[in-house]
Amino acid sequence: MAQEASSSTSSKTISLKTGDGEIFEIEASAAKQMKTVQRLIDDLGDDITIPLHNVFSKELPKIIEYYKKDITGEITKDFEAEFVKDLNDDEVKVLFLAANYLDANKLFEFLSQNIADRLESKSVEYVRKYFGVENDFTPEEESKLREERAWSFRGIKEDE
Amino acid sequence: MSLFNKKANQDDHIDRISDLPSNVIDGILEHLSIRDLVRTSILSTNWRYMWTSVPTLKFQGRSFLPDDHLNYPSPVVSKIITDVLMLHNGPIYKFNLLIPYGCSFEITLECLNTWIPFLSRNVKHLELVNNGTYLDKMPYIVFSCKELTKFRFGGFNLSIPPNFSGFKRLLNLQLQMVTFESGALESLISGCPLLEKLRIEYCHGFEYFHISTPTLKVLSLVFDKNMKSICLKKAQNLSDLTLMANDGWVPGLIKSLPKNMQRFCCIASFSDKKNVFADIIPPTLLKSSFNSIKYLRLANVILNERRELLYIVSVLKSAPCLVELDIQNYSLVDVAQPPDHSEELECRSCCLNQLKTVNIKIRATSNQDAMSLIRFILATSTSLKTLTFDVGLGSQKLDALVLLSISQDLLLMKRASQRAEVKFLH
Repeated sequence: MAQEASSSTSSKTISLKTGDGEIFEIEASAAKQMKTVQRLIDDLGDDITIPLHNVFSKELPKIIEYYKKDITGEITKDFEAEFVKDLNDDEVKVLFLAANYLDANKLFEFLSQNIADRLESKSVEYVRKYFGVENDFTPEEESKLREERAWSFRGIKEDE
Repeated sequence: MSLFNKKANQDDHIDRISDLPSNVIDGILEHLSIRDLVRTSILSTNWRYMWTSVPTLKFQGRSFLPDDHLNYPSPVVSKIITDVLMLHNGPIYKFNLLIPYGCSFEITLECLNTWIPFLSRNVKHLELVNNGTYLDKMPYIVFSCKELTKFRFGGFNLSIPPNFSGFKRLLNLQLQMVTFESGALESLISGCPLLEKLRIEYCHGFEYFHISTPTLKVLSLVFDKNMKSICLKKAQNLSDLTLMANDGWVPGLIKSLPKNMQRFCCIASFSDKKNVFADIIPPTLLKSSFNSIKYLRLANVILNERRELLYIVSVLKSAPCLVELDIQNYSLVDVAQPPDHSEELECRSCCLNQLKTVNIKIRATSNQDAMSLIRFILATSTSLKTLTFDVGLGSQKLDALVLLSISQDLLLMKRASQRAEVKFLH
């Protein structure tokens, strides 16, 4: 156990514990890509199970899947398309927030683009709900803005 | 600071995108189309000006002007862009203005003189592509964008201002449908001492392409029949080269190639001209320039002439480091010769021991000659992993018996690599 500290980082695994108490293993080289995890390892050591209070068992496996591919250099456009294919908008949002918390830059960049693609031509109400924003414009202010920016309001999709 | 005893703190858990710091939200906003971006101003009073500090503005294609907007009068389109720039607050690092095909709006001198001043201090990535017109001159004000690292423009006439001090940080330059005034291209390139990637496609006004930029790594050149001479030996670090003749290759066009090429794509456009590879890359160049090639792609070089096949074999022999080979032939030229199988291609002394992947994609009618080449490759490639043979190009299909006989021949061919997988697509 502790005697194997001299083995190379690439074959070492780190234990992560989610906010809802489940434990997952990742390679140390994958952990390096998530700066928050790496900081916790630096503080707590790599033999201890790292607690991730704000990431849960629903999303962590997906994140681990992404970084598993990343360390073998196999992330392609096809892989990324497959990765998000069956996720709905809310699931992507949860992953995005987790990637932000974990400071996992590559995944964060990819999900930012994916969210922007999903929001394309969506209605204002949809985007408000998605971002968690309350409308505090008066009806007059809102209709004035809509008129000024009429060019940006064409071609909006209907909410499902 | 020990985090060991830290309790799960709900305040740390951000579950609304809107609560994220603005530089994180910018990560999403940067990827939105301009219309989606500007529309966020109406989400709430807090969000009203959120979009104005995103350092990327992309007015491009149909995400800016959807089909029903294509005929917006030019003053209306200009005003939209001007209004956005005036409301914008903070540096703009990336600015794209790409006019979609079919749109009547043109980026004029006047427009650019109005807009570039908003950008020139900070912009790093700039793309200005007009829809096909060559007439307007690129205004001199664009040359004052000193921070550019990537610059793409198209549909302009280029002349260089007399006081041009260069784009000292430019790494990536892409020109399409540009007409060069005399000497303009040379002046532009020599003003970019750090240039690494250069792409010139469908441009006019230059007949000699002699380049000596030492930092250049990637070059892609699409030229027409006016090109007389291409000389690349002084580009010492050029490792990725794509040359495409839009109108048939002129023999002897290439005077020299870079010494350390690793990727080479040689493409003739789909035309009725016969493109003979031996004319494109003469044997003297093979000896000096193919030593380090790892990836080779040839498109529309004739396969159905014996001397061409032999020449391709000599190319393969000159490229001992070759890992991947891609041959495509869409050409309609069918040389009516009976297939000559009397001599196998000589393979005793040859060993292509790095070659791992081969893709051959042709029209159904040229299949016989490709088979000779495939036989040669299979017999000499000791590390081959996959060879894909696709005869599905073009509308003519082979009948089932012929397909069966090809499959059988492929199975029976001698293989130097036991794990080689041969895929036959039709």
